[in-house]
Amino acid sequence: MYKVIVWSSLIFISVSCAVQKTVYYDTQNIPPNPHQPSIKKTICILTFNDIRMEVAGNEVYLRNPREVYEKKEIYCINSEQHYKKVPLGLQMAWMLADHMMKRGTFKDVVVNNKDSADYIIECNLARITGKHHLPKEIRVIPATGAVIGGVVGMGLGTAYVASIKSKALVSIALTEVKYTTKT
Amino acid sequence: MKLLAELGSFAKDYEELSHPDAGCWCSYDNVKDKLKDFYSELIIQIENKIEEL
Repeated sequence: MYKVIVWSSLIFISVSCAVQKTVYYDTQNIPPNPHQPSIKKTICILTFNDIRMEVAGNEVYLRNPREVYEKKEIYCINSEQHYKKVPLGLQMAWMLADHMMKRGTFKDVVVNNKDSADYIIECNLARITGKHHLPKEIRVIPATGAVIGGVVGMGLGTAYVASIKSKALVSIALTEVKYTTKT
Repeated sequence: MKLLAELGSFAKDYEELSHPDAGCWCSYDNVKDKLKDFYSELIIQIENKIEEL
């Protein structure tokens, strides 16, 4: 029975972690700008210029598939491999445009369509990272003491694991945010 | 293209105790939550700056 539970968990978590990830969030509960529509201009957001490879500290997220070890602790990272389907700089530009549209401040917000815009927003994507500490108790299946270090970072689809909180660190940085016009 | 204004850099670090993503011990959902907060602040600055232009 124990083996069935473990293998079921492994299959579940392998599928869960293999799913392509995005940075899109729900904008339904974003409140509109109380002064809207105050700016009757169309804004164009260009795909963020991705400079993450040039920024110190990002390498581990861009090259490591799953977990990192820091001071004898294990952190499961948001690996770039799972973001790869659509370039992150484009995903983030779309998300910013969606959020700005929901605010309703501007007449329109478009992505990569400079010809229709009054103002163009450009920026560099310097960092967007996430990591979650993997507590030691997660590495040992309760009641059996069986070490599951081999599956560290893959997660477990059990209610027990879902109830545990641990330290999560997220870092986001944009540089050289600027406004331009076509002419 | 003609430069109108520069807003500079925006950076924010978040640290908290939280649940990992459902079914996967990682933080993709957490990153989305924090990006929402990050963009909320950024957008207000963008709006204020454009109003000045």
